[in-house]
Amino acid sequence: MPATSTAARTFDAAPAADPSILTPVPEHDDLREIVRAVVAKADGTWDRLMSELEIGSLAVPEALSGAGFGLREVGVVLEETGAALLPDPVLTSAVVAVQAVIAADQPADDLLEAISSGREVATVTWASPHDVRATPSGDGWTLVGTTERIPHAETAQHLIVPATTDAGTALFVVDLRHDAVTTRTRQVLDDTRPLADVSIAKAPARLLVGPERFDDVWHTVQTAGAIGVAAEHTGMATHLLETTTAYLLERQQFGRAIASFQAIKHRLADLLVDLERARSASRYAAAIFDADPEAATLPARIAAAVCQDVVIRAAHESVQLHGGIGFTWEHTAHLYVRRALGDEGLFGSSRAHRAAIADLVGL
Amino acid sequence: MPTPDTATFIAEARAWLAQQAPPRQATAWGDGDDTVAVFENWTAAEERAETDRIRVYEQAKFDAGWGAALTWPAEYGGRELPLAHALAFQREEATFDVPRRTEMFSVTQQLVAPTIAQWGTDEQKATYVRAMLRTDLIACQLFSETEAGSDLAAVRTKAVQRDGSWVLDGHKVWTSGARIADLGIAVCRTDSTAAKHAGLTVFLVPMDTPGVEVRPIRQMTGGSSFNEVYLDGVVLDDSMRLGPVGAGWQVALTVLAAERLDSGNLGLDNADRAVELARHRGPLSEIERDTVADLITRSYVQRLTGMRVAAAVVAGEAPGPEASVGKLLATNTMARTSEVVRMLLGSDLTVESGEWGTWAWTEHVLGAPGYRIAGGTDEIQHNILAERVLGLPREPRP
Repeated sequence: MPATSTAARTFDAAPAADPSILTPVPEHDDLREIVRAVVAKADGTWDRLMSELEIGSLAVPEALSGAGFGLREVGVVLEETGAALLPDPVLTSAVVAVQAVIAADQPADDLLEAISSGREVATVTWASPHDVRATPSGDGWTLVGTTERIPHAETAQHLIVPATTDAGTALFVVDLRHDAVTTRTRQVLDDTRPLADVSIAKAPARLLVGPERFDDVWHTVQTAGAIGVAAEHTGMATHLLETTTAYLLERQQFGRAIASFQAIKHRLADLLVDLERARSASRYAAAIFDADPEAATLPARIAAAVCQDVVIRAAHESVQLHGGIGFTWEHTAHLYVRRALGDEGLFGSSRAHRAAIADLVGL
Repeated sequence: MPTPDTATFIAEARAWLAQQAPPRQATAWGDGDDTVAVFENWTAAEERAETDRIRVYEQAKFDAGWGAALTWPAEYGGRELPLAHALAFQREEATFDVPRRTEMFSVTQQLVAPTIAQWGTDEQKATYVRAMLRTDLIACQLFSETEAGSDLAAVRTKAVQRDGSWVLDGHKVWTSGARIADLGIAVCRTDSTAAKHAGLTVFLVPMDTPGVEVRPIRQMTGGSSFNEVYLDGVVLDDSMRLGPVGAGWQVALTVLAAERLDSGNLGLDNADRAVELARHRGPLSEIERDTVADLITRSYVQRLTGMRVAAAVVAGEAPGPEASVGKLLATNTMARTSEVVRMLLGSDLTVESGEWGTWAWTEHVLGAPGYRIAGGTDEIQHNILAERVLGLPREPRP
């Protein structure tokens, strides 16, 4: 989440909500089991998540024909898809793009239906550099410019991107299949989140959010995105602790399971402490977002800072605790290191998030 | 008595609290008490006076129906209200300038009273539980010994039966509040032939019994909040035995589990104070801002984790691993607080200048290391997480 902070308010440096906002919800466990089962299958995961589980509609209000749940439920899904390093555009299309589209000035039912059902894929420049200019053209708009490092841009049909107009910045959606749009795949550390640059040479675009509401909507979209990433990281850390623990209970050296050595046990205990911190931070941010998105600004940054640190630590600990096998190409441990580092580059380091936290609490 | 709805309950609580004390205003920075001690640094007389001052409030609170017994059955003077009400009261209470409870109050009300309610005879329950919830009686822990620290089950203090009574001989250490406590809860060895954990029994020891001698320990802060307690031929009636003979380990674990749950909020007040210090010592460099923001983040998440535990308990569920990490989060917050304070104050921390809110932090930076040892060392907390939460094997025992 870049430093586009429109919320000028200062936040209390302590959580204000009633603890009941964190009451465990049994249905979330059911949802988790279902998603986990789907993600565990090798084929058709994206289709099943989108068309059978309809996860794209989870956080869409009922008035817009959605399921009327929120980021708490989306967070459960993202913990599982993150844990599996699912290479499908769940975060960008089914969550962040959907949050942008439901905030449109005019109902965009067709677009919402297409992407929330998974029939088409949208991506968003929500954390990427962009330099795009929009000019009115007949009934619509024309976009010219470039935007870089966009997740899943090679495979998506729609790009949601801010562009400057004479009246200020506004949010547009452009068809990535248009002849005037070219994409260039980037070589990336983390292949499970493919990135591409997008060049737009006079492509028609549709206005989603005009300059009057842009700042607020964009801020909300970025907040939702940060909370989504934090949920993925929480899921990754959960997976890393589970799989590393299981391996250490099996691996024998010096005649016993190495999980019985205190030097190992204490490191796993530290991972557990980290994981609980990540869970507390990401789940609280999601719960607050569902109650009042504007109030989630600080909780989202806290979650982003904590979960980014936790996932980097957990991924490196997983490599180390697996020993030699964890350093091999064939083992999955490096994929988690790659995702953790790729996300840090793309969505901001914990240090950048802490700088924003300092701003938000008026430090 | 029917359960009042939350709004009514809060309104009534606020009305009662308003009669006891003015609202707790954020006093101007540089004004008032600048104490940030982790362990109180009182003389025996001060400890007695402070305890009595707090006790007067606790007793009034109990008598008005707002005390520690809020969630307890009527037989203990309680109102049998849900935990959510008790938490709501605590939040209201924190906004008034009422006396703040010291460690001995939570030891008495949250650790020892529930243990007696669980393990005590009907007579013990009738005699002690209500009295402890009301803090008519203050309790202390007689657990650790010089040769039984983390390995608590290695205690050597002996209790032997003689002429229908028990005679205790031994030496306890690291007892908080022994100078003001009325009753100690002592783990003793009653069978030296049984396996280590099986030969233990717990006793309630009136601290004025002949043979009980309290000697303060001077800790690294320079003050004394812990004591050695010598038990020299202390004769107790069998009615002072808590739980079955040989069940001492289980009784002790009841106390220790409550202690772990009770430690989740430690360190937060001082962390908040360190952030306030940063606001007043600015402008901060980029590195300083990052370090302070990290402390804010950590104390924020420590609070969230406590909220998760409370939410689970209120919902009637057993809290998950989040309940077991509380003490480690607390000691981490304390250590980061020290780091922030050292960074901000430099030699104003280490050279007394008379300036408000500077030298006072020596009590924190010298006290914080103690909490990594007290209440189950951080290393033992790691073992508990590894073995009981993650299910890892124990170290092979020789």
